Amino acid sequence: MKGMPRADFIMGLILMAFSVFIIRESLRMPTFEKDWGGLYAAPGFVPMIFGGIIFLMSLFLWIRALRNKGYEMGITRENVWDFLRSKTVHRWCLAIGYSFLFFFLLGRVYFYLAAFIVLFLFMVTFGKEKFLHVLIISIVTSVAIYFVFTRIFLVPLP
Amino acid sequence: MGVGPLNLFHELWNLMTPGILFSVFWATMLGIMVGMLPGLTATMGIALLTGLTFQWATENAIVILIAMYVGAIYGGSRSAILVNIPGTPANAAACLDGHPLALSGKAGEAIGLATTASFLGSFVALMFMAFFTPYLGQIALRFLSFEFFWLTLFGVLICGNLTAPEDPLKGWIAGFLGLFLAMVGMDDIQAYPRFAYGTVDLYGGLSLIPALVGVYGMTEVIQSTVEVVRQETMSQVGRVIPRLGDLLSQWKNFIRSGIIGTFVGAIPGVGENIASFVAYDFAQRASKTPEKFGKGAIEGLVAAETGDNACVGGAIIPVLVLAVPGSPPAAVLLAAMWLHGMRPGPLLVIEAPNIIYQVSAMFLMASVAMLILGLSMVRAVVKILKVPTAILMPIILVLCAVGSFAINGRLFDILVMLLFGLIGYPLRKMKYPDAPLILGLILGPMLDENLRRGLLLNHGDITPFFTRPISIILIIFILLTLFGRNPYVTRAFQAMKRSILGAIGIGRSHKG
Repeated sequence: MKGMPRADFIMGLILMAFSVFIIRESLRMPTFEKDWGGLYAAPGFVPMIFGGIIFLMSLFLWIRALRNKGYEMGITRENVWDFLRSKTVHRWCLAIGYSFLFFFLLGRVYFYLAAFIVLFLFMVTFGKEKFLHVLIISIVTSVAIYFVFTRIFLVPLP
Repeated sequence: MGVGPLNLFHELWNLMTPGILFSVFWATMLGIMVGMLPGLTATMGIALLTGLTFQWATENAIVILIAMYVGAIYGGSRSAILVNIPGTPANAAACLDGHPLALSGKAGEAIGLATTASFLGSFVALMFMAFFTPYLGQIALRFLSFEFFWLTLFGVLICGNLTAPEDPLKGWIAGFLGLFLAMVGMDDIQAYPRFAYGTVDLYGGLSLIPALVGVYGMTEVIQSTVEVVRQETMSQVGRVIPRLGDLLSQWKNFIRSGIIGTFVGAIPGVGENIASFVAYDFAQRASKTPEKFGKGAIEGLVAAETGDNACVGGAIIPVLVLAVPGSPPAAVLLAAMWLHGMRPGPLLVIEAPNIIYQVSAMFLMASVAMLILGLSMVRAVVKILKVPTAILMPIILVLCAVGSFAINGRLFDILVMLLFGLIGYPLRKMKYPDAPLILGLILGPMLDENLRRGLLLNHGDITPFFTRPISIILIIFILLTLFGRNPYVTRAFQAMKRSILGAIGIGRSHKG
């Protein structure tokens, strides 16, 4: 059996919806037909073709998943609960959360402080090092990155 | 042909300044370390350094990126041999025989052979790069909008096909998603802001480097954090310098794998991981003792490492003459060249032919640095493999943010990087390859511009797209890429082959 039927079934639907959005938005763009000669010169011409091709490919993906019974989701309360309790999901949410926290801190606090916070949180959450070690590594690394990039690479930091 | 070596020597001489030499050595060393660490890839290393060296002189910045590329592709063999984890995807084939060699007490020898093989692979690629690229450039001059349209389409499709061998459909979807993402921002013909929705940051399109750092760096940070990999025990390193007898016995393997690696590298977007496996496969077929492959065969390790480093040079060839990258790291290199005001592409052989020799000289310097560094300081450098992922990955996250911010000084680019990382991980889990997505993002503007320009010049007539000789060849390649695995097509090919063989009298009937 090719692919992952359930994931492909959902992804096929998402991609089809996305490609319809691309086609719709491409058709809404001005055509400049009068000045440039034809529809082929329109800025939406190529994105519309891409949207059409993505639609066809995702339709094929979806039909293939449908044939492989990808619609049988097997969603039960137990499955959902297991999913929500899985360590993988927790780690993914935390990693994404810390990364976006870093983004929101940048520009609002000093770079080295934002870097220290995110380094410390990551290492404390996902590492097995001692608290004091993590604290020292986070401080030294954030200050080192700040000095290396601003002084040696002459890179402006946020 | 005669002036080629002289030009190469001339450029090499020009680059021999203390500053450049220092850059080559530290960047190659950094590349070896990046390559060694599982999770850090050559593409990520080059993407990060592109942002960080943006303010530097062009010559110095490009040599650093090439040294990082060469070093990282080689460096991955260290972890493959010592802990059975390929440092970069390019070194997966090196695990097959490298680690068994290490387990049998020959870790040092394996590292020495891998280093020499990588150097010789690079040398074979250098020959093609320096002496054949100008001729390829002459052919590329015949490319018009029609050919460029088909070439970019072929690049995305073949990349999708080869990077998702189990399910090419997903590779093609990833490629077209990349092509679509490249449409965001002002178009090249009418300067109309597409899919920008009034957001000024989007008018210039999605910046390549933050997208690349997101897909390769941020995704890796998330993956390494989510999926905890058990630390393997490391083999002890003994004598590293390879024996001359071992090297001489492999001369055919070096040449064959080097040529295979170079040619695979020249195929758009395919990359080192495929080159090393193809070279490995050919070496096994040619071997007198194929049963030893996978159990510590020197031939296997040599083929894999020669193939992947030859691919580096091969991947740079289409970057120079067609502005089409041969591999994901070469895609970043191309983006970096654009950032530094270089104009690789068909006109390079006319506008600045010395660039080909200059890049070849940089590649040679990086390869020599790799050989020197690879055969020395081995015991000290492999200690880096002991750094826990939980410490390394957040540092990479911070560096990804710095690298993305450095080019334009916009926080928006960090957001782009994070968003690409956010979608990159689920896409990877669902087996959508990264390479076609990125190749699509790079080639999208070229495809858009050439298709529309071709139609505009011919007042909407599509005939020239289908009648020019190079276009026809590319269309045949595209059809083979799309339908090559179709059972009807396969059967038709077999029937055709049988009838041809029958007609010339080499049919099955003769065997009986």
